[in-house]
Amino acid sequence: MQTLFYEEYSPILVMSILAVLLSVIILGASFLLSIQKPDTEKLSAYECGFDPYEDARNAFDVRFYIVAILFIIFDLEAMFLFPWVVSITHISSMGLWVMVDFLIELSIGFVYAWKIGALEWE
Amino acid sequence: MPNYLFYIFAGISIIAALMVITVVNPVHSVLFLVLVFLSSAGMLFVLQLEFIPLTFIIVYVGAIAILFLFVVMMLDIKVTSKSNDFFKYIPVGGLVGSLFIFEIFNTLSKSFVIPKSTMLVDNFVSWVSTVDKVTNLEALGQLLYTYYFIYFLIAGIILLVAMVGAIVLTLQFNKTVKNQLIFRQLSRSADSAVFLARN
Repeated sequence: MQTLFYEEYSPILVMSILAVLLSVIILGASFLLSIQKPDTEKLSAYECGFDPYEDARNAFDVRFYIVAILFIIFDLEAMFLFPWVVSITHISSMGLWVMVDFLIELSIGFVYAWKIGALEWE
Repeated sequence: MPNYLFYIFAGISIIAALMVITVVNPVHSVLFLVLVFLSSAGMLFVLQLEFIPLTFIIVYVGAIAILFLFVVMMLDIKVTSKSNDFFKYIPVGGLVGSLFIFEIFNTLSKSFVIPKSTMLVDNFVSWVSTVDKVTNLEALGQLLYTYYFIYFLIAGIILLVAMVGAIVLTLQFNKTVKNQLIFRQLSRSADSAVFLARN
């Protein structure tokens, strides 16, 4: 049953375990082995020599949100491409044209967003 | 081995989900939410359901988490949440949670019934799980683009409507957009750009 696990996923698992271990080793070694003598000058905020004026978080333009929503929609389009790519040899030419139709539908939206200037900045 | 991995990922996701609601800084709780998505994706990968964890990683971690970060930024929440606010929501949350658990157990007990004929056999082999020539993604692709193609095209139209709606709702039309037209800049030469003004 677990052929896919042993053949395909186990190298990824080993890689991710190695990544976690390596980051823990690097951060932990620099935290534990270094000599730390903190004082107020070292720990104070360093931003071109000034204290920061305000919080870094402030409300920004809603048009960043448009870009994010358009990104989600094209992300979903890419998600629909994955099963199609895997099984394109088994589905007939109808599967191909269904995907072409789907891509055309989203391309209409993309052309609309482009023409109306939703991605433009002043 | 995969069973232990499943429990490890499940434990990570439960701990991270607890950290989402207990951590003080909202940005940190969004990062723990990303960890919840990733560990539950690993859980589903161990169960060999590939499409949903891929969706988790690409759509949820890649896009929805960014939307969550935007919301955190826009709401301008300072670090003010105290831990005694927790117990205010226990009645509503407990009600919703217990209803959800009841629904899940109800569905599980009704939908996944082993037939009586196979229950009598002690050591039956589940041949469906031993023959896994077709993976989850392939099975989905073979059905989604042929047999259920109309739903696929309707999904495309819904995405188109969502895109157009988001643009129409949020776009302010102002005509003062200054564009940089590269072909006009490149086609400009000294002969046509420098001239004497005669009065």
